[in-house]
Amino acid sequence: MRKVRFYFLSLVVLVAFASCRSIALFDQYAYVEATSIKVDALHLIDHSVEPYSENSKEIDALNLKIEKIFEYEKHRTNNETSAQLWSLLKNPDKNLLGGYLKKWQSDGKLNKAFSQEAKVQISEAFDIIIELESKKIKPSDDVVVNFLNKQK
Amino acid sequence: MAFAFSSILDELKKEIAALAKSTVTNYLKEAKKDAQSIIESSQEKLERWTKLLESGSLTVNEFEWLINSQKDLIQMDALKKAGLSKIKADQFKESVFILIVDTILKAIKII
Repeated sequence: MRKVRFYFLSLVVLVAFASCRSIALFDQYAYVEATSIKVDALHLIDHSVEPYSENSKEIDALNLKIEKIFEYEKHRTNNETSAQLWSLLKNPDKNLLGGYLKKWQSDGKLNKAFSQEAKVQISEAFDIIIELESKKIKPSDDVVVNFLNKQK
Repeated sequence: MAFAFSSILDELKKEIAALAKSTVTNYLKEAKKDAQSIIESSQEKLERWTKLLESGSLTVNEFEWLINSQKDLIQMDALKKAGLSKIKADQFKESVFILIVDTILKAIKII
């Protein structure tokens, strides 16, 4: 009887948690993609002293990767904040990665000092996305699940 | 089985208050440190970009682009902080639930 009561109570707690989480749990795929796209983007910025046309294939590939992760982030439950961050980073009318690629396209190529300074800014923007993801609660750190496992 | 609900509630109130206090104190410390670091970093960048502009290494257009990028970064940072607050809130809620369940189970001697 006590065991039944315990499991019933546990179930109620789990259901309550499942329905009241205010931000998504940590997602390994989102984290790995963000770090991988960061490396690709910074590598591409190093080439922005060269003509845009010579790098258009790599730029298209990067934009495609960003669109894919943005779609993924946008459709995760309770993940509006991360989706908004990606939206700002990729927006061509803002002055981060999207705006940088737009400027590169319109100017043809960019000067070294500017590209190095912009690289720092874009790197920090990626770090913000990565840091938020890394600080989300890991499924393995979910205290409720751990607590219940301990009682079994 | 008769439960001493008032003593359970008193214990819970005390423990939740202590938990809330430590959560808020830790978060405020982190947020203050983070805000200070953004101010210092913006100041350093502004000084560096001004020197590059004066030396002719940056055009006015590039200088303005960088200033606006800092504005966009600050916007991203504010969003990140909002996200971190949600994480802290979820962690706090979880701890409170555990506290409640743990205290009740102990009181009815299931664990």
